[in-house]
Amino acid sequence: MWVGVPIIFSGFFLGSFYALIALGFSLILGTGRAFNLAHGEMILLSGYLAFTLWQYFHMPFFWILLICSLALMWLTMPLHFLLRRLPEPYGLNTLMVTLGLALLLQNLLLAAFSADYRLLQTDWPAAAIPGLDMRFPWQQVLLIILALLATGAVHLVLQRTFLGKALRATIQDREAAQMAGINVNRMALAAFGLGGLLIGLAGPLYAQNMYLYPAAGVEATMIAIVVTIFAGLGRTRNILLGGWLLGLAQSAAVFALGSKWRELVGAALLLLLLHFRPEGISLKKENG
Amino acid sequence: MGKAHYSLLLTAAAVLLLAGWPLLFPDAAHFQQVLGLTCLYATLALAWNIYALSGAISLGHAAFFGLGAYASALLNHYWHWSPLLTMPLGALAGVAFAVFWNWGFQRLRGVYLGLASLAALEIPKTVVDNWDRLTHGSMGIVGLDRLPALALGDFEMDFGLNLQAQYYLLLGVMLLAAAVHRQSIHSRWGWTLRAIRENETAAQSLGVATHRERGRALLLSAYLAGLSGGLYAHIMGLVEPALVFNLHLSVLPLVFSFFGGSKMVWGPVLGAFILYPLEQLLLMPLFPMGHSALYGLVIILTIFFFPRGIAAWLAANPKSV
Amino acid sequence: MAGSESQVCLEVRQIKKYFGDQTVLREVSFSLGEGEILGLIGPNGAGKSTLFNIISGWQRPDSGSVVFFGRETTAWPPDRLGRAGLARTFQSPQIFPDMSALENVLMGAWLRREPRLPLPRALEEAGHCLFLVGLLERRHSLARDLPLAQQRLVELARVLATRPRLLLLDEIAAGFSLAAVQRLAAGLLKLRDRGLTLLLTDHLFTLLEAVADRLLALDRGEIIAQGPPSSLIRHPEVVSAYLGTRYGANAGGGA
Repeated sequence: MWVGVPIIFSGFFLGSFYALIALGFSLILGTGRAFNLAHGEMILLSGYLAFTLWQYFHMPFFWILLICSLALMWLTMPLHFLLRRLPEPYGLNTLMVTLGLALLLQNLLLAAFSADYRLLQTDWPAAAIPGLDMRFPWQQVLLIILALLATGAVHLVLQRTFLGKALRATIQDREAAQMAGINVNRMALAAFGLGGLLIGLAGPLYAQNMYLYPAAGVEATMIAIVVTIFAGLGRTRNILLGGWLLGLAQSAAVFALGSKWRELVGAALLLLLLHFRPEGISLKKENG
Repeated sequence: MGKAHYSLLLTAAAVLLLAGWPLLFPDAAHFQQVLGLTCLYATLALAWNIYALSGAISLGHAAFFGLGAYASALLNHYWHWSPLLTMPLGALAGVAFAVFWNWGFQRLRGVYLGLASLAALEIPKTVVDNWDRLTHGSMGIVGLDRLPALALGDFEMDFGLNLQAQYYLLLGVMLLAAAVHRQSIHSRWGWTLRAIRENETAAQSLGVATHRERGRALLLSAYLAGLSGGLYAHIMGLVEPALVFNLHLSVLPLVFSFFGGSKMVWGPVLGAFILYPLEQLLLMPLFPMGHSALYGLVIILTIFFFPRGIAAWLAANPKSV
Repeated sequence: MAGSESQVCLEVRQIKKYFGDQTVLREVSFSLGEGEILGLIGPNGAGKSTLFNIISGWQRPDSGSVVFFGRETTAWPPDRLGRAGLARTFQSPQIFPDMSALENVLMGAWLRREPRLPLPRALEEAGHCLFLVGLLERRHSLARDLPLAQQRLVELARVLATRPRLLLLDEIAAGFSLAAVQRLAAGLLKLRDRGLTLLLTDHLFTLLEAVADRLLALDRGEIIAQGPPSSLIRHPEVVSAYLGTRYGANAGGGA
C-alpha cells in the first residue's frame, strides 16, 4: 500500500477533529470578541468529565456525549458575563483573563486527576475498510462522523436560521448589526452557549482518542487559534478545510520527522499566518 | 522632593530587610532556598517587564529562559567552563533568538504579538527536544557544575552548596536587574519606551525609531531572562526541555509584573515576593497538586480589581514622576 | 510665488495615489518656499489627508516624489522625516493619554536627537511651548482628561518643541472658538517670522484667511485653483466644489 494512504487517513481523522475544536473558538471570538485561551482546558474538563462518567458510573457513551455538551454549555455561558466587564484593551484583557482561567483549570484538573495519562477505553471492534488492507477503530469513525455532523449543523444554523443570520451579522460588523436592532450582547451569549456545546462535544471524543493529561490543553488551544486565523471568522467551510490541512501537515510531519515534531507544525503555521497577515483576523473584510 | 526622599528611604529599608533577615535566621534553610528562587523569578519578571514597558505583552519569555539555561548547560557540559563564564555567555543564546523574534514579529501588536510569542516558544523547545546528539533530547543534561565557591582571604562564599550564600548571589543579581529596570523607566530611553507604549503613532512622528527602540528593550529583556535561565540550570544542576521551556515560566513573570504593578519600578519584585513565597511556603504543603492555581486566580483578580497592580493601588497617588 | 527668492522647503512632484481602482490623487504638484504659509482647502474626500500622509511618510504614493529641502524623501519612514525636521499634527489628535500635558510636550523637547537637551533645559522648553499655545496652567492635567480642542493644542505644543522646519497642521482649529482661532493665528504668524514653514488644512476659512499667504484648492485629487486667500475663496470652481459636495445628494463620495 502506498505510504500516503495512512497519512491521508490520519490527517483526515485529526483534521476533522481540529475543525470541531476550532469551531467553538471561532464562534466565541467572532461574536464575543474574546480570545479564549482556556479553550483547550475546557475541552479537557469535558474530557475528564466523560472519563469519570465512563469509568465510575459506567454510563453509555451517547449519554456521556449529551451530558458533557450540556454541562459545558452551562459552564461557558457565565464566562460571557465575566469577560463582558473587562476594560480596554479588550482583546488583550480577554487573552490574559482566559490565560488565568486556563492555569486555574489546569491546576484543578491536576489536583483532581493527577498528572497521569488517562484514556476513555471503549472496547469497540475495529471496522475494516473495504478494498484496503486497513482497519479503522470504531471510535475514530465515530469521531469523524460526529465532527462532520457538528460542523455541518453549525453551518446550517449560521446560514439558514434567523439566529444564525444575526450571529453572522454580528461577526461581520458589530456596529452595523447593533444599528440594525440586533442585540449583540445576546448574540455573544448565544455564541458562548453554542461554543460551549461544541467544547462539550469535543471532550468525550478527545478522551476516547487522545490521552488526557492536565497540561494537554495548550496544544488544543493552539490548534483552535491556527485554524481560526487560517479560516477567517464565521466561515465554516474554511474551518473544515483548515482543520484538514493542519491534520495532513501534522501527519506528514510525524511520518517524515517523528512524533515529537508534531506540536511544532501548528506553531510554525501560526507564525507563518501571522507573518503574512499581521492584523490577524481583519473583521471588516470578511464577507460570509 | 519629600516624596522622592520617602521612596528612597522605603527602598533602602526593603533592601536592608532582604539582606539582613538570613543573618538573623541562619538555619532557616528552606526559607533561604524559597526566597532565593523568589529573587530568581523576580529577575525574570523584571526582564519580562522591560519588554512590557514598550507596550508588548509576551507569552514566550520561557524561550529566552530555556535558551539561556541550555546554552550555559551545554558550554559547561562539553567544555567544562565555569558557570561564572557560561551563564553570561549562555544568555546570549536568548539574545540571538530575540533578534529573530524582533525581525519576525515587527508588524505584530497586542493580541497577535501575544499569540505569536506563545507559538514562538515551541521552536526552541522542539529543536532542543529533538537534537538528541547535542542536547540528549528529552532526557536533558544532568550533572552540571553547581555554582562555584568564591574565597576572599578567609571569607568563603559557596554559592552552590551554601543556601545562604546562594540567596545573597540571587539577591545581588535581582538588585542589578532592578537597577536596569529602574533605568528603563526613568531615563530618557525609559520615557522613549513609555511614549511608544502610550501612542506609537505619536512617538514615531516625533522622530522615535519605534521598531529599533522596542527591539533594544527586547534584547535587554532577553539577556536578563537568559541569565535567569543559566542561574536556574546551575542551581538545579540539570536542564530538561519540559522544565526550562515550560509555559509556566512565561506566565510567572507576567503574573508577578501585573500583580505587582507593571509600570512601577518595584512592581515585578513586589509581585514575586508576595506570590511566590505564598505559593511555595503556604499553598504547596496544603495542596501538593495544583497549588499553581493561585497564579491563574491572581491574574484574573488583578485585571478585574487592580488593573494597575497593587503597588499603584497601595500608593495613594498612582502617578509616578 | 511668495517664497520664490528664498530656499525651497518642500516640493511635491506629480503625486498619484490609488486605493484599489479609485484615484485619490492624480498628478498633484506644488512647491512651498521656506517661511511660507500654504493653506490646503477642499471638500471631504478631496485627498487632503492622503496628501498629508504622503508628505509626512505615513503612506507611499503610487508615483511621483516628495522633496524636502533638496532631499528626496518619498520612501522615508515618518520617524526619519521627524528627525529631519518635518513635524505634523493629526486630524484626531495623537496624544500620550497617561502623561500630563507638560510631559506630552516634554517628549517633543527631550526625545529629540539634535540638539540633545538635558532634562532641565528640555523641561524649560516644554513649558515655554505649552505657554505659547496658552495651556501652561493646565500643565499637570492628564492629557486624556483634556477636551479635544485642548488635546490638539497639546499636540501642537509637542511638535513645536521638536523645533521643526516644516509643520503640517491637519484641521488644527477644529472645535475652536473664534477668539481661540484668532489667538492661534497670531501665534502661527509669529512662528513664521522665526523661519518656520507651514502647510495647513482647515474646514473653516477663518484661520486660513488670517494666516495663509497662498491657498491651494484640491477637489477629487486634483488642484483646481490656487492663489491668495481673498481671490481663491470667490473662485467659481472652488465655490462649486464646496457647494456641490456639501449640499449634493452624495456628500463625501470622492473618498
